[in-house]
Amino acid sequence: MTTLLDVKGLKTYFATTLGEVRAVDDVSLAVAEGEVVGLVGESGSGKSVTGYSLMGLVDAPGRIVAGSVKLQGRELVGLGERDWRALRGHDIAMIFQDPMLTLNPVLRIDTQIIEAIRAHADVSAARAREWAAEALAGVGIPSPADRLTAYPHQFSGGMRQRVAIAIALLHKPKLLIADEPTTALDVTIQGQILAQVQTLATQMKTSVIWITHDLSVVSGLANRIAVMYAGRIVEEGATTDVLTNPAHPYTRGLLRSLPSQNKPGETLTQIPGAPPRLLGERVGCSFAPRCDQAQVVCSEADPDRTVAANRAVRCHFALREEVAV
Amino acid sequence: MIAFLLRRLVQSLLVLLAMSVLVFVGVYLIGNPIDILISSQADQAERDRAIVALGLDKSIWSQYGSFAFGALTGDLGKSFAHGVPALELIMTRMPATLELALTAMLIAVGLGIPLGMIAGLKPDGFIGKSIMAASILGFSLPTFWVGLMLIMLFAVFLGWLPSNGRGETVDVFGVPLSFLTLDGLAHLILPAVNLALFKLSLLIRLTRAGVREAMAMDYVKFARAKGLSSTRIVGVHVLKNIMIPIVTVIGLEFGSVVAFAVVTESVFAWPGMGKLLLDSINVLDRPVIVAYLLIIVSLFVFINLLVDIAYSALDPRVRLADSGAH
Repeated sequence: MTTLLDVKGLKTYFATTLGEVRAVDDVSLAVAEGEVVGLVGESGSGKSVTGYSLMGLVDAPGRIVAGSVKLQGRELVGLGERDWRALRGHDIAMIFQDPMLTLNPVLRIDTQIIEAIRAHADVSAARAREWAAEALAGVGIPSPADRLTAYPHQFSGGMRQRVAIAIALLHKPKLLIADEPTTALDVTIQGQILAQVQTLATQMKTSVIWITHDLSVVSGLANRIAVMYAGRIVEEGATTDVLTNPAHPYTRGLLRSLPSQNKPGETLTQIPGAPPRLLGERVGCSFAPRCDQAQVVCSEADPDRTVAANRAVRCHFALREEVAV
Repeated sequence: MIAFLLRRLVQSLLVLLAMSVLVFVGVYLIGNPIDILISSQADQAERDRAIVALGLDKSIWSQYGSFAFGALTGDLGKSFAHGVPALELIMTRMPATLELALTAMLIAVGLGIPLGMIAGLKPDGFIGKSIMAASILGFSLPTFWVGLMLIMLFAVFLGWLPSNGRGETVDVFGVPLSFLTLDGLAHLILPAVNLALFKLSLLIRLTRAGVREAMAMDYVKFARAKGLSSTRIVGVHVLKNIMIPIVTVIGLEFGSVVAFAVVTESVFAWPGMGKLLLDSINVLDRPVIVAYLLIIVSLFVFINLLVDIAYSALDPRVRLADSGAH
């Protein structure tokens, strides 16, 4: 498999009055062509900002301070706005969490689809219209030609997300970044959307980075899983490996927190404490204060990213035997 | 749509009825116009004749009755002071006020929305901050004082622009208009700028707030993710969303510009309705006062109707049948 996207040492910081917030702090991630990668983490772990960084959509006071993002060998960090615009929606597309908010409420669906078509393709008005109807049909919207003249509020939440997906996939992008697109939807709709994206991405050979806080969402979808914590990827590996044999204590905690992992009646396990603030110098492992296996070294030295057997982990004790409790 | 318009019409008639009763009774309570209109040397017989001639010998309710009956046939009574129909008197003065108000609104909208958008898109830049600082001045300085300062600067010291009257006018369909002649335009500039200043500041602040709010919305991020140009994002996605509150305020403010042009008209001796109203209040010329207020209320009602219609054009989620309640 050839590498489509290669992220190395990406750091996206936000300047605040209290100092710099390291929202994304040294993230490295590779996505192969046609691969689906699940980016999993709690709120505030930096997964959405990672997505925005890959789209060149980080707004002030945030900025990419270091690292490299290569799409098919082309460096994206430091690209001018004109180049970014040509890239966005054409090579890299993104869908967002809340379908109620991503479509402009006062513009008709056809306006919003056709402007996206014409941003990247020089086609006639008639052809653009046809294209728009085909795109709606492609995401399973019934009588697409009629629905084109509707406004977003005339669609249900699931249908709106389908419209957003149709827009994102108009130009058969090489990479789709899906930022929790099913979080705001009913479970049944969630399943439909997942299946839809999976089918379309396979058809178009589009790679997908699926950002979510829900491990169970990506377990059936992703080829690989990257777990983020406090602005870093703490563990990354093939989905089955990570789920059945988690190497990082945080991943183990996440898995144990899933209600489906519990026997009925048993008290749910939780990870104690709260995610750290991402201000100031990083001393030691960010997860150490919440980790049940933390040793002295964890609060003193920042663990490096160690790669072994298709697994990358940031933990002092990761790939050894579990530390005796 | 028709049900909406009918309901609106009935509501408006009720407002007009209530307003006319209030003003009628209010002016009656303030004083007796005869005391002002008739010279103090007049004898009792002369006084009585005048009282009968103006219909002031009847009870207030029968006076109101004959006024209301006349109003239904389009007759709002004769001015006590001028002896001509009140409506006619106001209509001869109205073009001057409307011209002033429209020009002022045009300045406010034409400058306020672009400046507000600049300030909203670059809130931390030098230009954005300068615009906001200027708008605070426009907001807080009293209109009459700014008017006086404008006259001092441009008419007295610099001598560039005239400070009073309408200047040369051209009749268009029998309506005298200033802005079509160079001299008239020169006379129009200062009062129009003076009147526009407050609305301009208001629109700048409103537009800026709207732009800042809209720019943070997901639909803007999604539009950027589609690869649209920033011109298209700001000019279509953002502008169409912020127009909803702006149109409301423009509508309301236009009514108030017409109604409260009084101050500017006095400062610049602009021969409009506002000045007529002040003169009429001084001599308790009730028919003119009532007719003026009826016209202003009708204007407000009409503008609000236009705003509601504009809403449904701007915001597809608004249906006119629902908005009739308020």
